[in-house]
Amino acid sequence: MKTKKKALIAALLCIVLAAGAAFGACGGGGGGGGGGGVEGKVVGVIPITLSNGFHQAEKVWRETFAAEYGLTLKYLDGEFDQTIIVNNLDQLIAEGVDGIILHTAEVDSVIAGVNEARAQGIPIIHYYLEVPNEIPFVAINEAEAAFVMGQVAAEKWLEAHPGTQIVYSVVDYIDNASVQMMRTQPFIAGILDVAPDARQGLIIDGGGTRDSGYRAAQDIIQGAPDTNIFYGASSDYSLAIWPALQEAGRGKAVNGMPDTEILVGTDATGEEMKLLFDPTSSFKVTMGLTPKDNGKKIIDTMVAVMLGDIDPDTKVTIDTYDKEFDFWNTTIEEAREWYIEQYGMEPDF
Amino acid sequence: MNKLNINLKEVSWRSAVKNVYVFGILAIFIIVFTAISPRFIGGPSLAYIIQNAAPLLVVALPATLLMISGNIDLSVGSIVACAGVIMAMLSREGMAAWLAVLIVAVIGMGVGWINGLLVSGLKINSVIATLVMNYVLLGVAKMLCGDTIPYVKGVQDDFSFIGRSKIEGWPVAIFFVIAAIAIFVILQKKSALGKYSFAIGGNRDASTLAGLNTGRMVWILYLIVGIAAGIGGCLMASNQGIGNALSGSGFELDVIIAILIGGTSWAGGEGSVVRTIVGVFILTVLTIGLNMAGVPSFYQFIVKGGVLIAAVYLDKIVKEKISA
Amino acid sequence: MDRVRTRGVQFSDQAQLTLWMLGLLVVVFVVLSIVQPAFLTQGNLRNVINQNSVLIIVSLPVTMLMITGNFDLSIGGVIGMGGVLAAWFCQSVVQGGAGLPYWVAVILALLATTAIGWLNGFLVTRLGVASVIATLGTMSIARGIAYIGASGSMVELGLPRVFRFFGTTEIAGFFSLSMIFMIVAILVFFFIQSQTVFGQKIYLIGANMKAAQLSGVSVRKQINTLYIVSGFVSGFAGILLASRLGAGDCKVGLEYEFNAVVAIILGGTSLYGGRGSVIGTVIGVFIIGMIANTLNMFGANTAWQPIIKGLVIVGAILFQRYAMGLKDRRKLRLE
Repeated sequence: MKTKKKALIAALLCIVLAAGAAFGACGGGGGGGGGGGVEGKVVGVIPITLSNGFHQAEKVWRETFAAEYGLTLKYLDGEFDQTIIVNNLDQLIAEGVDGIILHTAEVDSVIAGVNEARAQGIPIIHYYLEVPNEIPFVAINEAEAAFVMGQVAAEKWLEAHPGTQIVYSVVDYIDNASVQMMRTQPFIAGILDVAPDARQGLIIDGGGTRDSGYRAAQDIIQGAPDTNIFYGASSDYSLAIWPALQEAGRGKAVNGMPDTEILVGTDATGEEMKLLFDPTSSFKVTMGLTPKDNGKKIIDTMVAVMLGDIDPDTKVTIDTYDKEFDFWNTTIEEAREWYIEQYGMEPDF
Repeated sequence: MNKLNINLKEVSWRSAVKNVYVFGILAIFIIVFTAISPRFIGGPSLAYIIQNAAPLLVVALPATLLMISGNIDLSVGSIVACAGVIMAMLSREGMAAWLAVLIVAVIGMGVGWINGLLVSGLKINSVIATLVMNYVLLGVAKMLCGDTIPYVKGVQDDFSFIGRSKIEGWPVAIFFVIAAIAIFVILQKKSALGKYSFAIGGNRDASTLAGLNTGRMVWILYLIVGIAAGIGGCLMASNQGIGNALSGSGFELDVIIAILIGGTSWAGGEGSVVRTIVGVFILTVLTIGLNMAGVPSFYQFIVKGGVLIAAVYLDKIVKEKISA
Repeated sequence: MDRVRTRGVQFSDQAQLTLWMLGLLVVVFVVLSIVQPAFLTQGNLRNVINQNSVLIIVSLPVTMLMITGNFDLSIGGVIGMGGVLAAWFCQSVVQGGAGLPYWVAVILALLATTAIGWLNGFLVTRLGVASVIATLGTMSIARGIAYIGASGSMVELGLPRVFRFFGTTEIAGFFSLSMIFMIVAILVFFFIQSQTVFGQKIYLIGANMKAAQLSGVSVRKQINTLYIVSGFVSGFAGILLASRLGAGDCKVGLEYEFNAVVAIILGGTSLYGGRGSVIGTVIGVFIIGMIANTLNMFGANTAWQPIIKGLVIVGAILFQRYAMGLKDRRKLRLE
C-alpha cells in the first residue's frame, strides 16, 4: 500500500514539475523576431482540407512564394471538420506563430479564436469564406463562375433539345454552407435565369467520398430519370456521376451537342478536362480554382499584413477568381495552357 | 500469518506498478514532444491541452465505470453533438447558458435512460444498442439543425464562457475537469455503485444471484454517462461558439481508446478511473504534440493506430507479469 | 454424441432464424414497392443489387469471423488501401506512380492487404489483443497507408486503360462483374460454412473455444486463416471499387465496417459467436440497402435516413428475439 502511494506521489510530482517547467518556459517562448522583414518567421496555415488536388497544388505554390520571402509555413490540416479547424486555430495561438492564414468551413465558430489571435498581436487573414471579424480577407468569387455554368448548361441543353423542360439534379454537399453559397445555389440560379420553368429533380448528399457519391448518383438516375442537367459539387462527385451515367447507357453527346444530358463538374481536374473535350461525352462544363494565382495572392497579402502595409484590423477584401470552362467557349489549347500554368504539371488531355 | 503479510505486500507492489506505468508513458510522450518543439510545454499550450481534453475527460470517466461493469456506450459521440446543438438552440432563444447546460444535462439523462432501456430493459447487446443509438442521434442532431447546414448559430454572449473563457490564464473548463475527477474517483472508490460495477463486470450471474439488481445498476450507469455526455457536449459547443451536429464524429472512439489506454478491461471486471484520466491526457498530448511537431495528418492515422495496439498489448503484458 | 446433438439444434435454430429474416426482407420489399413506385423497376432492382455487391463480398468473411467470436473492423481501411495501392503501382511513372503492369499491381496490392489480414490474426491469436482493438488499430494503419499512397486525395491520372476493366465490364447486358463476384462469393462461403469441416470448426470455436481446443481444433490456425481471407477479400473489393470509380481514392470504404457489422447482426449472427450464417448476412445487407435506396429516391432529408435505418435495426433485432422466443415456447410445450 505504501509503495503504491509512493509511486503515485512520484508520478504526480513528475506532472507537477512538468507543469511548473511549462509556466517557466512560456515566459521565454513568445519573443524573438522583431525588426523589419518577415524572414525566418513562421506562418500557421489552416486549410479547410488537404485531401484534395486543388488544396495540395495550392499548398505547393504557397510554399514556393513563401520561400521567396524567407517565410516558413506550418500547415495544420482542417480535415473538413469544424471541430478540428477550431482546435487548430487554438493550437496555433497557443504555439505563438507569427501569422495565421485561416480557411474555415463555418464562420461563427472562429470569431472568438480570431479575436484571441488579434489580442495576442498575431496577424490573421481569412480566405474563401468571409468571417465577420475586422481582418483582411482574400475572397474567391466562385459564385460568379458557378452562375455562368448554370446559364451555359441551360442554354446549350435548350439549343440541342428545344421545347423541353429542364430538370436538374445535384450530388451535393448538403452539410457544407460554403459549397451551398458559392456553388450549388448560384448554379441553380444560373439555370433559372435562362429557363425559369426548370424543375428540381433530386438533390442528394454525396456522403463525402467518390464511392458514396457514386451510389447517390445511381439513386438519382433511378429516382429522377428525366434529369437532363447533372451537377457534381466537386470533382469527387462529378466524376462519381460519370460512371453511374455510363452504366445506365447515358453520358452521350454527338459532336459536342448533349444527347442524354449535360454533366457539369467542379475543380477542372485533368480527368474532368479529358471528358470535357471529348465530343462524345456529355460532361461539358466545369470551373477551375486557380491554385497559383490564389497561392500568390494569399502569401502577398499575409506578408503585407505582417509588414504593416495592410492594417491587420480592417477588412480589406482582395478578390481572386474561378475560371469557367465549357466545351463550346474554351479551346483545348487554352485549357492546357491554364492547367500547366496553375498546376505546374503536364496535363494528360 | 507472516507469510500472508509478505504476499500482500508483494501483491500491492505489483498493483502499484500496474497503476503507475501509464503515468510513465504520459511522461515519456511529454518529454519527447518537448524535445521536438520546446513550445509544447509552454503555459498557453498547457491551458490549451486542458481545454481540449475537457469534454473527453468528462465523458470518459463515467464511461470507465460503465466499461468496468462490462457494458459500453458508443452513443456518446452523438449525444455530445445533440447536446451542443440543443444548448445552442436554447441560447439562441435567449436562455442563460448555465440554465441551458442544466436542461441539456437532463436531456442527456433522458438519452441515457433510453440506452439503459435498450440494454437493461430489452436486453439488447450494449455494443449494438448504443452503436445504433449513435447513428440515430446523429440524425436527430442534424434534423434539429434544419435542412441546410449542420450548425446552430446566433447564440448569446455567455454561450462561450464555459468552453473558451480563461480566468488568470486558466481555462474555465478546468473546473469541470477537476469536478469530474473528484466525483468519479470518489464514486469508484467509495460508493456502492463503484463497487457493484466491479462485481457486475466480474461475474454478472453471480452478482445477480447474490441479490444485486444488476439491470438497475447498469441502467443508472447509463444515466450518469448520459448526463456527462450532455455536459461534455456543452463544453465542446461552448468552445466552438456554435452548435455543431458533426462535432461528435469519432468522439465515441476517442472515449473508448482513452479508457483502453488506461488499462481498463474491454470485457469488464477491472479498470480504474484514475488511469483513464491518464489515458485521456495521453491521447490529447499525442494529437497536439504530433500537430505541433508538424506531422501531417495522414501519418497520424498510422501513429495513432500503432499506439492503440501497443498500449493495449503493453497493458496485457503488465497484467500477465503481475499475476505470474 | 452430446456435441453432435447440440450442433444439430443450433443448425435448425439458425435455419429458422434465417427464414424469419427472409420473411422480413419480403415484407420490407413489398412495403417499399407500394410506397415508392420507382423502387420496383428492373433498372432499380439491378441498381440495388449492384450497389450492395461489394458490401456483401466483404461481409462474408467477417460473418465467419464473427461466428468464431472475433471482430474485423479493419475492412473499411483495407478497402481504401487496396484500391489506392493497386492504382499507385500501375500509375505511370510520369504521374508519380510505380509504372508496373496492371496484373502485377493487383497482385502486389492483394499481398499488402493480405498482410494486414495476417497482422490482424497475429495480434489477435498470438499477442492476445482483443479483436475489436486490434482491428480498430489496423483500420487506422491501413487508412493511413491509403492516405499516404494517394497523398490524401486520389490516384487518378495516368492509369492504364485496363484499370477500368473490372468496373465497366458487363455480362449479358445485365450482370456487372462485381455482381458476378458477389454471387460466386456467396456460393463459396455458403459451401464452406455448411459443407466443410472448416465451417463446422468455426461454429465449434464460437460456441466454446476451450472445448474446441480440447477436441483437437487448432483454433489459432482457423482464426488466422479467416483474418487472412478477410484481408484478401477486402483488398479485392477495394480494387473492384477503384476500378468502378476509375481512381484509387483514399477515402473509399469509410463506414463499411459499421455497415457490415450492422448487416451481419441483422442477419442473425450473434455478437458473441457460435451462431450465424452467411445467407443471413446477405439478407441483412439487402434490408438496409433497399431502405437506403428508397429513402434516396424520395430525396429524403439526410437527417431522416439514420433515424429510420436505426429504428429498423432495433425493430429487426427485437423481431428476431420474438421469433426465437416463439420457437422456444413451442419447444417447451412439446417437451
